[in-house]
Amino acid sequence: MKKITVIVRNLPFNTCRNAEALRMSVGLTLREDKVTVIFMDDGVYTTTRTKPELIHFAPLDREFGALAMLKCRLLADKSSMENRGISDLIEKIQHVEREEIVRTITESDIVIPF
Amino acid sequence: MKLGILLTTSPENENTNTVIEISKAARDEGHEVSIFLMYDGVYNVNKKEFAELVDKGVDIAICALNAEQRKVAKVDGILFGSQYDHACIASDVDRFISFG
Repeated sequence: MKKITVIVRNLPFNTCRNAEALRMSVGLTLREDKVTVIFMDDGVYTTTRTKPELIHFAPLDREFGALAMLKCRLLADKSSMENRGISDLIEKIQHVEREEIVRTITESDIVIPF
Repeated sequence: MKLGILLTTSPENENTNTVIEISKAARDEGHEVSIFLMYDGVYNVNKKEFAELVDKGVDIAICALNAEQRKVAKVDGILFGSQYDHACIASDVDRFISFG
């Protein structure tokens, strides 16, 4: 079993890239590898409570729900959150220190910055 | 050695040329190469030099959903597959490189 880490660093609503990153992460669990998704830099906005349907953007609830159900770790970088004044995340996301982010990345067999 | 490559950018990005050259070099050294295309990366099947990698023995699979969304037509020798194919590549290779 491999440890695969997907890193999301972009803003969520000017592209469907982040949604694709989550869909890909769900797919990567199909061979029973251990998948972790890290949200850092502007990517942390993806994990905030928003109403994307107001701008006709598909909500990511389904992808987050699937990843949580598949027991994937969903980590938000605490320092990225603090730099952006973000404190309220959706419940499935753990906010962790930068050291934990670094440890997760260095222990991974595959890292995919998306 | 088995090398896996994920490409998510379209052909105008320099990633495409890098992937082509890495794949050729790896094949010349006798390594197995599997490439998965998704997101805007699916457009690369329309680039002649990229599609010719199949003739060099490179396995190329693409996300059929992304291809359908972008009206990318099927190309001989390239598997129009799913995210399961990506999971298999990631799971089976010795080294994996992501270009995005």
